[in-house]
Amino acid sequence: MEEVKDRIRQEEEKRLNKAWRVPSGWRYWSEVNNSEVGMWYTVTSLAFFFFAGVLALLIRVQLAVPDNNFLTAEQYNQIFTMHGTVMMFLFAIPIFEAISILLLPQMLGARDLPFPRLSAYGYWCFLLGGIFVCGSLFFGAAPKGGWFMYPPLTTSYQPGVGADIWLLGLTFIEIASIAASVELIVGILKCRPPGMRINLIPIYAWYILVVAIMILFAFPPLIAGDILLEMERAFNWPFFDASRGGDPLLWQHLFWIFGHPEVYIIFLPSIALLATIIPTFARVPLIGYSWVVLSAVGTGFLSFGLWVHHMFTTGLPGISLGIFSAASQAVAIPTGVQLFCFLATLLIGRSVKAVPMLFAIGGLATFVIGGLTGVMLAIAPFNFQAHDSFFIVGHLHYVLIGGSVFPILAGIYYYAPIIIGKKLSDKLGKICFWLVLIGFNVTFFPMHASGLLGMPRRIYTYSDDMGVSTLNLISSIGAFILGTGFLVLLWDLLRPKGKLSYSERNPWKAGTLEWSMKIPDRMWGIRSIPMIKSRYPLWEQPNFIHDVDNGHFYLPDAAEVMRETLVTSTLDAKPVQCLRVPGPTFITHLAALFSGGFFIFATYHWWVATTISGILAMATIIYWLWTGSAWIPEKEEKDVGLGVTLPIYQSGPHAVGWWAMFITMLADLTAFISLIFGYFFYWTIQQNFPPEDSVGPGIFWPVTGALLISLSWLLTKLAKKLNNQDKAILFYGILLLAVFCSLAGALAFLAGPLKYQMDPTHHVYEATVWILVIWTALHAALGALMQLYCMARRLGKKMTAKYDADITNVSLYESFIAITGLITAMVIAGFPAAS
Amino acid sequence: MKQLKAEFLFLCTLVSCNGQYSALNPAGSSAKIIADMFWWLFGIAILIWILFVVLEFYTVLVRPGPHKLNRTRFLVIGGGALFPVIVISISIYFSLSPLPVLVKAAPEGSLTVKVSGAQWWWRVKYPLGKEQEVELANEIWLPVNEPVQFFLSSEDVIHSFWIPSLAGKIDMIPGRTTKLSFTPTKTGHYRGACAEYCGTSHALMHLDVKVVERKVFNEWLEKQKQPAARAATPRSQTGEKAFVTSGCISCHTVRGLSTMGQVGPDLTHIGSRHRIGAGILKNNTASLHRWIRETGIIKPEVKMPAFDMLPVDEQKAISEWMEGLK
Amino acid sequence: MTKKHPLWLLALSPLVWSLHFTASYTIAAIWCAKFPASDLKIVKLLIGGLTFISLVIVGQGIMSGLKKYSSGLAHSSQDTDTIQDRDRFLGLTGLLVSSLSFIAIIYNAYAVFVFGSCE
Repeated sequence: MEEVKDRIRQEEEKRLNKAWRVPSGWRYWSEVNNSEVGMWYTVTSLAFFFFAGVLALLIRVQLAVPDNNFLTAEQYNQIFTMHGTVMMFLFAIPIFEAISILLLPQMLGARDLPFPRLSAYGYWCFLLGGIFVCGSLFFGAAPKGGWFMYPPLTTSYQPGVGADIWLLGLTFIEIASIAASVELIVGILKCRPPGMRINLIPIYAWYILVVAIMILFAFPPLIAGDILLEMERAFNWPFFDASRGGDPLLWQHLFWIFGHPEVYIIFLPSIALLATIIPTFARVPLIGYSWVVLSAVGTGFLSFGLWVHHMFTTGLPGISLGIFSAASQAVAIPTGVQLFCFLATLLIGRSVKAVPMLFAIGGLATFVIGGLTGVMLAIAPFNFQAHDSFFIVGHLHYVLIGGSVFPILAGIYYYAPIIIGKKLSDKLGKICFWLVLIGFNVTFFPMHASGLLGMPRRIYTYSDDMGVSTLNLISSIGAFILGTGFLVLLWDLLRPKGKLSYSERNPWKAGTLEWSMKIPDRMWGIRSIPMIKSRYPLWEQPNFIHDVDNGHFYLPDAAEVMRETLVTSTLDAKPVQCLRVPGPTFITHLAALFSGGFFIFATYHWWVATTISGILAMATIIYWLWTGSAWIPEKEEKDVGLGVTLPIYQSGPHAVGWWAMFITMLADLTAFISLIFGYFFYWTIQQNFPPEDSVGPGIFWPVTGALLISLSWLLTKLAKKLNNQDKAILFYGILLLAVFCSLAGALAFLAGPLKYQMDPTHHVYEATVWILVIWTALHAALGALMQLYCMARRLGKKMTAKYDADITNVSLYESFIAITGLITAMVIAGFPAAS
Repeated sequence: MKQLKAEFLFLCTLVSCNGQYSALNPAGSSAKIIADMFWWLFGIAILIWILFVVLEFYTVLVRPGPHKLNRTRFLVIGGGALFPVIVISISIYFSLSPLPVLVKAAPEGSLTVKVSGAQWWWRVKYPLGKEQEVELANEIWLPVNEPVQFFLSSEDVIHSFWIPSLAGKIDMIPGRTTKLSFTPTKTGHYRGACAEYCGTSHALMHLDVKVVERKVFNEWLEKQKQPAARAATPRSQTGEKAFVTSGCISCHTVRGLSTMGQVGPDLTHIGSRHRIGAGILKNNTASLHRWIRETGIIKPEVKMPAFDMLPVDEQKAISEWMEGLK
Repeated sequence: MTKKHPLWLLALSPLVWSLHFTASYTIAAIWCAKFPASDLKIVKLLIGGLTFISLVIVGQGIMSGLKKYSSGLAHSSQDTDTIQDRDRFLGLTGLLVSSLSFIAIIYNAYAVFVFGSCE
C-alpha cells in the first residue's frame, strides 16, 4: 500500500516538475515564475543600491572640506540628483516589489502570482530603464535638477537631455510599479490557501496590500506631472511658465501628492519584514495583530494628507499650512502603534540572538530618531528654518535607512536560506551591523546641527566661515565607515558558497507558511496547497509539514502538466477556481524592448523610430494577450484534491483578469483626475481663467464626444450580451458600431480645440484643454482597438458565448472611458459656461 | 531644560553655534520663537527616544513569565495608542499657536524691502514712497527693533530667501510675490543663503544682512540714494572709462554713470558692501580683480562673461574704481 | 447567523476622513485665493458643518466596530479560524481605524479654527 502511495507521489512530482521546470541555457531568461523574477529583481535593485551608494561617497568626499574641487559643480549636481533618483526609484521601490514577488506566493501557499508575465514585463522594463538612466551619468548627460526636478529650472533652464532622461527612467518605474500593484492586490486578495481567512493572512501581506493600493493612487499624479513637464520641455506648452499663466507650484503639488505616500510605500513593506521577523525570534505570535493592521491602513490613508508639508515655505496661506501641519503630526500615531506591538511581542517572547534581530533592534532605534525629527519638521514654524537645509538630509536618511534599509538587511540575513538555500555568515553579519550602525549615525547625526547652523542642501561646496566644516568632515568619515559596512555585506553575498552545505529546513523555526518549503526549493514551490487554520500554521497545526509534503492538500498534482494555482474568495479564502498561469516566454522581453524603445527614441526626438517602436510594442502586446490570456480550457472543471472540483475559467467580477483591468483603470482614472486637478488649480490661482483673450473648445464638440464614447460603452455592453446569446452577426455588427463610436468620439473631442484654433503654446488654458482632450481621445482610440480585438477573438474562436473574459474586460474598460469622456466634457465645456 | 540647552550649546561652541548663519543664534522675533520651540522639541525628543530604547532593551533582555500578558496590553494600548495621541494632541496645540503670528504681515507703515532672486544673486529694492526706489544688490540693512515687511519674487527659477538668524525662509517663485515679516532684535552682521536648488551655482548665492540702530540705518539709506562717487585717482578714472568702453554698463547700473544696465546687479555703491559675487568673496581690490578675470571659474555658468581678454592694467583699474564706489 | 462583512467597509471611515480633509483644504485654498481679505467666518462655518457630519458617520463606524468586536464570548479572540473570530477581527480593526479617523478629523478641524485670516 505504501509502495503504491509512493509511486503515485513520484508520478505527481514528475508532472509538477515538468510543468514548472525552469528552462536551461540561455532560455533560462525566458522564465516568468515568481522565484526567478523575484530573484532578478532583488539582485538588480541591490546593484542599483550599491551604485547609488558609491555616488553618495563621491558626494561626501566633495563635502569633506570647504571649497573643495574634487568634483566640479556640474558633476556634483548630476551626482546628487542621481543618488536620490536611483535610491528612490531604482532601489527603494523595486526592492519591495522584488521581495514581495519573491516571497508572497510562498507566504500564501501559492505556486505563483496570478500574472507571471506581467511581473516579468515589469522587471525587464525596470532593468532597461535603470541601465539607461544610470548610463547617462557616464556621458555627463545625467539629470541635474535634484530628485524632485522643480520647474521652471527643469523646464526652461536646463536644455539638454538630462531632464528628459529622468522623465524617461521614471516612466519605466511607473509601469513596473503599477504592474506590481496589480499582481500584489490580486495575489493577496484572491490567491490564498483555503481557510486563510482575512484575519489569518500573514501580517506582511496586510502591509503589502495597503502599499499596493497606495501605489494606485500615489503614482498616477506623478505620471500626470511627468506628462505636463515633458510637454513643456518638448513642445513649449506653458504648464509651469508663469509668463503664460502656468505655475511652478502645480508641479510641486502633483509631485508631492505622489512623493509623500511614496516614502510610506518605501517604509511600510520594510517594517512589514520586521513584523514577520520579530515574532520568529521571540518565538511567539505577533501581539496586537489588529493594531498592526490599523497601523498599516491608518498610515496608508493619512499619508495622502501630508504632501503640503514639503511646501511649507512657498507662501501658502497659514490655514493651509495649519491643516497639513496637524495631519503630518497625526500620522505619528499609527506609525507608533506598530512599534509598540513589536515591543510587546518581544516582551512576551524569549528572544533568540540572531543577526536579523540585531538589524531589527538597531533599525527601530534609528527609525525612531527619524520619526521624532519628522514630528519636529511637521511643525510648520520649525519647518520654516529646517526646510531645504541639511537637517532634512539628516531626517530623511534616518527614516529611510532606519525604517527601510535596516529591515531589508534583516530580511536579507533572515531569508537567505530560502533565496540562496544557504545561511549567510553570522560573523560577517555582526561586523556589517556594527559598521553600518556606527557609520550611519556618525554620518547623519551631525547633519541636524549643520542644517540648523545654516547649511542649505544641494550645495556643491561651502566656505569655512559658515562654521560647518568640522561637522561635514565628521559626516564624511562616517560615510566611509558606513560604506565599509556595506562592503562587508557585499562580500558576504558574493563570496563563493559552493563548499557550504545547504541550510536545514526552517532554520529559524519560524511559524509562517514560507518556511514550509524544502531547502533547496523545488521548482514548483509548495508541494500541495494547504488548508490553513491559523496565522502560524507551522507552529500551531499538527502534522502540517508532513501533510504538505505528502500532497495531502490541494493541487498535489499537475495532471495536465500545466502551471496551476488556486483562486479563492476574498474574505474567507474558499476555493473558487483552479487558475492556469502561463510559463516561460520571450514575449515579455520584446514588449519591454519595444515599449522601452518608444520612450527612449522619444527622448531624443527621433520620431520615426518612436512610431515604429510604438507600433511594434502594441503588436507584441496584442500577440501576448492573444496567446497568453483567457485560455479556453479543455474541460470545464477539474478535481483539485480533497474532493473539491473547481472551474478552470472565470470571467466577470470573479476573474483575476477583470480585477486586473479594474485596478489598472483605477490608476488610470487617478492620473486623469490629476490633470483635471490641474485645470481647477489654474482656475483657483488666476483672476480670469479662461483668460479673456482665449477661446474655448465650445460646447458642441466636447459634448458630442462624450455622448459618442458613452454610446460606445453601451454598445459594448450590448455586444457582450449578444455574445452570450451566441447571436454572432449582431455581435459583430454592434461591436463594429461601437468601434466607430469610439473613433468618432475621439475625433469629436479633438475637433473642439481644432475648430477654434486653440494654440497650446499661447497660454496654459489652451494647453490644459488640449491635454485633457488628447488624453480622452487616445483612451477612446485604444478602446476601439480593444473592441476590434474582441471581434478578432471571437472570429478566431478564442472567445465564445460562455468563455467571454475579453469582451467583459473591454466593457469594463469602456465604462471608465465613458466616465473620463463625461468629466472632460463637463470641465472644458460645462464649467466655463456655468461660471 | 536650561541645563540640556547649556550642554548642547557647549557642544556647539566646538562647532560654532553662534555662527553668522545660525538659526540657533536668534536675532529676530521669528527666529527667536522658532529657536525656543526647537530647544523644547529637542529636549522632549531625546526623552522619548531614551524611553523607547530603554523599553527596547528591557523587552529583549527580560525573561518571559505568565504575568506578562497584562503588561503587553498596557504596552500596546498605553504606549502604542494613548501615549502618541496625548503627545501629538499637545504638540498640535503648541505648534499651531505661533503660526498666525509668524505669517502675519508687518503693521501698516512698516519699512518694506523688495528682494527678487535671480541666478545667482539678489536684487534688493527699498521703496521710498512716491514711486521712488533705491536699488542695490546682495546686501540688506535693517533698523533694529522695527518690524520689516519683505516682498519676495523671482526673475527666473525658484529661489529661497533665508537668513537663519533672523527668520525662517520663504521661497521666491516666478509669477508670485511671497511675503515675510519679522522684527530684528539684535544689532549685528548676519548672513543668509539661497535655500532652494536653483542651478549650477546655487551653492554660491549668499547674502549679507546688517542690523543697525535707526540712525545708522537712515545714514546708510541716504548714502545708497546718492549717485556714484566720482573717480578720485587717475587709475580709477581709467577704470571708469574702461567700465563703459568694455560694455559693462550694458548689464550693470552705476547711477550717475549709466542706468541702462538692468540684467546684472546694481554696482552704484559696490565698494561699501561686505562681500561681492553674492556673498562669496571678501570685498577688496584683489577679489574684484579676480572676479573680473575669472568670473566663470569662481561661479560656474554665471551669466556674466569673464573679462580676461582686457589688458591686465585695465582690469586692475576697473577693480580699483569699483572699490572706490563707496 | 452570518452577515456579509465586506472588506472594503474597513475603508469607509478613512474615506470620510479623506473627503473631509480634501474638502477643508480645497475650501480654504480656493476661498483664500479668490477672497484674500476674508476673515474666514464662512469657511469655518462650512468646515464646521462638514466636521459634524463626518464625526457622526465615523462615530457610527466606531460603534458598529465595537459591537462586532464585543460579540460572542468574553475572551474576544480574533486569532482562530472561526467565523466569529474573523468578525471580531473586522470589528476591532474597524473600531481602531474609525477611532483614528475620528481623531484625525478633530485635529483637522482644530487647525482650521486657529486661523482668522488668509495670511
